[in-house]
Amino acid sequence: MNYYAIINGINSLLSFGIAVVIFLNKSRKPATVTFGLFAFLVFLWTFFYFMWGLQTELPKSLVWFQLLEYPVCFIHMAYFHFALAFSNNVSKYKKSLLLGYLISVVLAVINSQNGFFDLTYIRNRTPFLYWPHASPLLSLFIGSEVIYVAFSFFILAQSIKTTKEPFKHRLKQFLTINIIGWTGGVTNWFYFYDSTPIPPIGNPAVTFYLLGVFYLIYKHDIFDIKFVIQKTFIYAMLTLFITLIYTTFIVVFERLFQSFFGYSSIIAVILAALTIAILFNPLKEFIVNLLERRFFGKKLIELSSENIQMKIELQKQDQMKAVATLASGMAHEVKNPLTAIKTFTEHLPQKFNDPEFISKFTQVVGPEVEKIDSLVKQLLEFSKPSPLQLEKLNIHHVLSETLELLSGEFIKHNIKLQKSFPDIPEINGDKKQLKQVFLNLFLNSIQAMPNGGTLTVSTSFTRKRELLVSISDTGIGIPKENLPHLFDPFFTTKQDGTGLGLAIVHGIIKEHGGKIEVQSAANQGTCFNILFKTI
Amino acid sequence: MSLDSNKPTLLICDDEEGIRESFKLVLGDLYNLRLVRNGVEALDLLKTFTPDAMLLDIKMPKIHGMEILKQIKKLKPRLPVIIVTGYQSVEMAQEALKNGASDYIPKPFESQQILKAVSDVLK
Repeated sequence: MNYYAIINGINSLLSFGIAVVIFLNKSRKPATVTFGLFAFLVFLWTFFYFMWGLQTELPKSLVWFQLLEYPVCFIHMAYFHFALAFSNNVSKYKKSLLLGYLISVVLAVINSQNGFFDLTYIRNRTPFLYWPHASPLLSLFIGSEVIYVAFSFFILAQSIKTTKEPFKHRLKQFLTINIIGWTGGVTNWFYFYDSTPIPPIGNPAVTFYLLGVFYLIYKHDIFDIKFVIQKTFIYAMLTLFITLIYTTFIVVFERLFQSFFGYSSIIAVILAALTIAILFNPLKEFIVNLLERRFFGKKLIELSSENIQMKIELQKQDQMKAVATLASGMAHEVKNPLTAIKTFTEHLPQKFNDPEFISKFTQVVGPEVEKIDSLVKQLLEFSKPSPLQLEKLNIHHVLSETLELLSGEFIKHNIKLQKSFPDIPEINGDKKQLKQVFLNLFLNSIQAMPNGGTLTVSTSFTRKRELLVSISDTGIGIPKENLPHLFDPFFTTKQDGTGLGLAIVHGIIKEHGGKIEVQSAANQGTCFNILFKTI
Repeated sequence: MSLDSNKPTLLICDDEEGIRESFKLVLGDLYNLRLVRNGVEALDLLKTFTPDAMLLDIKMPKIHGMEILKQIKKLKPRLPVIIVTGYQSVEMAQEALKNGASDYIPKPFESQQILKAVSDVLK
């Protein structure tokens, strides 16, 4: 077995792991799905490469060789597609994307006719026994790959520019390992030309790249895939070790002991199985340890808590932004009670002997002070995050209280409010968190209607006995291509947005066992529908 | 409330009890006051009655103060209206004056400010 085949074997396990993790995860975001497809193609390529390296007979070798070129025809396009999806540019570059896929199909057809290689000129190039020489058509193949990959890098680099820290840093890391991986992969092409006798040294770079992707997925949750990765990685490594043990046994036995035992494969299999059974648990512990200490540098638990900590920090930031808007609205709210208090205290020195005035004074000033107190309390409530506390509640109260908080904002922005609150059953909910949900949605609606409009808030009871809260505005609407990303953390189109508002909304609704959906049309408005289970 | 025919009559439109009481305290000795809580009540009253001036809040339930101002100005173009609001901004002040308001006073106000503004519009 040549070393290069082994490297490709490892790569195929790693890329298979990534593809599986991505497809097992429920996330169906275009960027995640396209990266999954890309990982799967890398798996096919490396696996066929691995099989090709193992062959000792020419015809079989050529079959695997031809097979391995099929995924290669599409890899760069899957990667380009991913880069577009990741940077929300699919619709902008739709034509380039279609053209690229079309070229890939043509490449695959040419490959089926063995058009890229001169099969009459096959050399033994260490460590491969049968290495074909390029035909003139291969330059087309390489050309289209290089153009599309460079284009992808360009698009990813552009999207880094508009990303904020700390995500900028992660994206940079991601792009760097991407460039390393692709540069490594590209060295495979050189060996097909006699004039550039550089052996394919690049595939270990692909290993490095795949490990890097694992690391970023795990540590920074770049595809929103949480802790599935740890197990997958461990089992991928275990499978690798087990395969190695198994192969070693078979090979060693067949080479050394065949002469003693005759045909001894069965004994070899049994012995291999026994060894694997004995070694399985220590091996697993060894790999977990290795991963935690050597690869990640920290215990996995510590890493994930680091991640969670950062998310909490950002959530706080977002919450404080909402609080700031509320506070400016409330500054106005405070003015009414303040006016009353001020006027009455102004008259106090002249009228403190007038019993009628004194009775009015207590009647008016007391409640006004309480109003200010309650406003301040409500504001504080928003600035402190707290764990979910469910209670029976009427959603109308929560909606009305949140709308009341924003009444100043509605006036300021010339927004008409329409409420439709028919009789509905109660739900189990966390009042504070739901207030935050509605606050975020209302603030978004206000921002979507800079020149005024109508905000409609209605509730209804569905046939499935669910409670539907509908919040719709007549604002600028959300571009179609942004809709799939709307609830993604850190997705934002606002200059100073953290991209967490709607992600928090989504998270809270999910915790309540509810669902949230959005419909939007450009310049017509946006409608959020939230479904809650009733009691 | 009995009306003293020697005193000018002011219509005050504000949804906040504390504010209405404050107006009573500041203006009650010098003027006859008619107090209403929202635009619907104000417009109803104005169909049958013409005060000498009006004090109007902006943020109120049912009808937005600015909308009330426009309708009043259609109904009684000569009635002086003073806007008294906590939601002050240059734009809103400009819009109020454009729609025919005579003055624009931010909350919290000084008693003297109100007294002066009312006596000015009544001149």
